Amino acid sequence: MIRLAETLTIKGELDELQRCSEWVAEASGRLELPANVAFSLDLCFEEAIANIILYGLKEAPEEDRDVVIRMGVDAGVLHVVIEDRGMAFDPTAAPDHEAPSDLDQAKIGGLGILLLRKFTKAMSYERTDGRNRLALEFALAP
Amino acid sequence: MELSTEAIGEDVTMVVFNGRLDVKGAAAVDMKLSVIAGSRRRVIFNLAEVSFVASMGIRCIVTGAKTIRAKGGQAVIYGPNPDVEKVLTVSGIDTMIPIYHDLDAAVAAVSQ
Repeated sequence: MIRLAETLTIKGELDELQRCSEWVAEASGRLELPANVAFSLDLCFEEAIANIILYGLKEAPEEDRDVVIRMGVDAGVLHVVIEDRGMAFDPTAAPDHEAPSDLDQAKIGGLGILLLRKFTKAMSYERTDGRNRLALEFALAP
Repeated sequence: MELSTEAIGEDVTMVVFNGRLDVKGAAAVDMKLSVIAGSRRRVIFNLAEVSFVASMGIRCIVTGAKTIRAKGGQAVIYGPNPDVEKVLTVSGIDTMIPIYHDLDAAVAAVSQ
């Protein structure tokens, strides 16, 4: 079992994204993450958690609105787990975002999931006991 | 996130973004950017001082560029740092809104 020593719990509100981003910066420092990994992490948290807050937790009752974030480094890989009790949603099963060929057709929906895919080494999802668990991996070496 | 504008020559407008173009940053500049996009035809989005961009920020830039293009104008991106540029290229935005690292080239591109 990989130890995920860094943890943060936020309320499912957009205002909390800033606290999350500040925590990511601090935790990246403690874990001595390379700058590009810290950037990818910041990006993936923003995309994954904004999605959870805007869609997954939209109708959730107050007591179920927490988002729990944990992360730790093991064998050259940064492991991140994001959990919430919102609606079931599997971003790993979402269809690929098609890059628009011109501005007139540009649609931004799905872009967040494309960024999650491109900026992580691996991504997995499971739903157990009414809880979404999204696990992300980032390679520390280039 | 802060937004300011600078005139370059007679009719090119440079929109200078400063800070994080995340959910909060995009919300902060959205209205101001729509007003600029609605009133200018040759626009350079200067991202040199942007430390972070996510999909909400991209949405904001694309919407602005669409408004400018719809009036027969031209918008380009100038000076993103390597991390920000990677997000833009992975998203395929660079094929619709060209990215320049040379200011003269950016000015020339919108002046055509």
